[in-house]
Amino acid sequence: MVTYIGTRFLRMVSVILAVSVFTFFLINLLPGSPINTILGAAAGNAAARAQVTAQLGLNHPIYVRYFIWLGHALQGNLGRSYVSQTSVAGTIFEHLPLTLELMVLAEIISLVVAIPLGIASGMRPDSWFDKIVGGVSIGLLALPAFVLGPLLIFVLAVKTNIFPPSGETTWFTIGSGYSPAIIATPQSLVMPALTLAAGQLAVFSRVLRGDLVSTLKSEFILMARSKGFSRWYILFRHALRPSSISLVSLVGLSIGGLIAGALVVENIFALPGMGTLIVNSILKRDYLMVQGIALLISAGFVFVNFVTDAVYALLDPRIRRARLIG
Amino acid sequence: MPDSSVEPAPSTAPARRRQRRRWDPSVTERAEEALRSSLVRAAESRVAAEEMEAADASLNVAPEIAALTADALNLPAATTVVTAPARKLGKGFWIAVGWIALVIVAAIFANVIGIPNPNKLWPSDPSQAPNIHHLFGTDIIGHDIFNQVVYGARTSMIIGASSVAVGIGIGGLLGLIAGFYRGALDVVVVWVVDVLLTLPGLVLVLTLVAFLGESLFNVILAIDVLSIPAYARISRAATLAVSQRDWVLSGLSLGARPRRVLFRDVMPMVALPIASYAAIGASIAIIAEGALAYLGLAPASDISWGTMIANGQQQFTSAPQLAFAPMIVFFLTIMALNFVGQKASGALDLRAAQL
Repeated sequence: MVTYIGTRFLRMVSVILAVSVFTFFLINLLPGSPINTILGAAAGNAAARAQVTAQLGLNHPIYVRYFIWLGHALQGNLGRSYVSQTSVAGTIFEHLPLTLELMVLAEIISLVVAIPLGIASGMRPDSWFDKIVGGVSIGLLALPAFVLGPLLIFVLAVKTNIFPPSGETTWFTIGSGYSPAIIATPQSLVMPALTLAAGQLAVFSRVLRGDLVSTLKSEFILMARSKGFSRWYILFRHALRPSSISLVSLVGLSIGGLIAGALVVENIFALPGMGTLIVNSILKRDYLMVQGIALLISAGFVFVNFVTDAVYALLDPRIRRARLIG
Repeated sequence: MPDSSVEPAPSTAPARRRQRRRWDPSVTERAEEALRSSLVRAAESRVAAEEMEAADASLNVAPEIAALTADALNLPAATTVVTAPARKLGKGFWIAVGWIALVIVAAIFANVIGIPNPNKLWPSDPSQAPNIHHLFGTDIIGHDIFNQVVYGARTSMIIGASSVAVGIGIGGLLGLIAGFYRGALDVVVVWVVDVLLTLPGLVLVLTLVAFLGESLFNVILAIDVLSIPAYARISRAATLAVSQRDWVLSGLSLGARPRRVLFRDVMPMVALPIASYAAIGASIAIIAEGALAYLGLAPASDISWGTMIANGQQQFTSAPQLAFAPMIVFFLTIMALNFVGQKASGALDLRAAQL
């Protein structure tokens, strides 16, 4: 157990270090002098040049610079943006809560819709209902966010006015200051969350269906039926738990897809989260901001993967044995 | 595609093999022979998988082992062989192939078959609804939407094709070498592949394009590089499984050079699982490019379906067809690719279609 989690932890640290090296060297991909590119119009300002040189440590050799940068990053100092004149880490944390809220809502929607659908189609495989759900699932998987999002806007906002086409209503804010972090009211995020949930919802319901179909064929279900238990009692008492293992591990794996999806979805619906922040920063050539966001998202994602692995190992002893061997 | 290939009946093949060997074992002959016998082997191992299943059932050995072996070789799991003896591709498959072929032809021959330049303006008829002169209508300054959709196929198909080519060429080869020779190279490849596959791909593409600059070449470069690990993983897994098979071991124990065994005996078997992933891989790459274009991070000078959707959305109330034309074409293309990919990999497993 400890060995398993220990191995996973070392792996996580090594991957995060690799990611940090990658993002650090991004700045060196920029054509020409990084000072000119980062400062943009302010490149003529000698004081600003000296500040950037000091901040990036450009008078040191590159490996020394990496460790200086890493040290700052570990203390939560991702530098200062020369485009918006704000701290990179501060700006990121103003945008992060909305993205997280969107991801949580999408995860809730996909589970709330997928579990009943999966059960209903799994209990009667190859019925007309199962076939329709199957067909729709294949269709949903072929609808990327930037196709489904505009479609929902057209149907639910332009044609019927059920939801506003874009933007959000503030529910409450976190922190104070010039631009505090926003948490939107859940009802104003319904369309974005639906867009984000659609693809994985299809996968979840199909996977649950598949596992349920094979569980219902096993002998202990036959045994339970011969004892005279009702269909529903057997379903919830006996069949559902062993059928949910793939679904549970998929939920953990889906977080990566959700992060990438959220970036696109926020831009479709003009929500002020990490996705709009990274795209606007790219368009404004705010390289230090892009670097900070890439580092944070990747590291956060690797961390989430580590936690998921550790939780599964705690829950299911078979996993930690299988993965250590494989 | 593995499913459409015709396998010679195992009973006639050994005879033909003997005959050819006596006749003239020239280089081309041997290459042809290798291909044919690999197909025979595929057929034989499929039969073997069935036999294993039968043996397992009688010996009460865990059936997962048979399924796993068959899975690793991309043969249908033994149970499906039993329940569905004829692996039909069905009408849907050919409709999907037809659509993809149509899109590819449109992408390559747009100017040959007389589709006007997508940037050409019809100043006299802007903002038109679909009609006989402009099948999908025109936009606010008089661009013909049909022309743009046809030329937009170019961007998507270039991305799809190049990601498959780079993925198979680099990823497939790396996986093959790593899985066959193992050793330090294998450790490195596995680690790098794991790292790249655990990171959110779109974030990496966005970041790379941001720092390299927004040109079509850089978009292609970023997407292609990030499509390598998936191919490498599939190729390595298949190589590991194939390397333990009898004909590989006997080749090695007869003293054949490992390189010869790798390319003559292992590679043909690994080619099938990789090829069946190509359609899914292409659809992932095309979606990534569409997302970049939709976000405004692809070069504005190139016509792309993603850009068209983003622009058309501005006029949703007055002219919905501006966005709907590229949306529908995009949807059909991705659906066709996913469908072909699923059929080709022989398993109706939706998990494979997930990004």
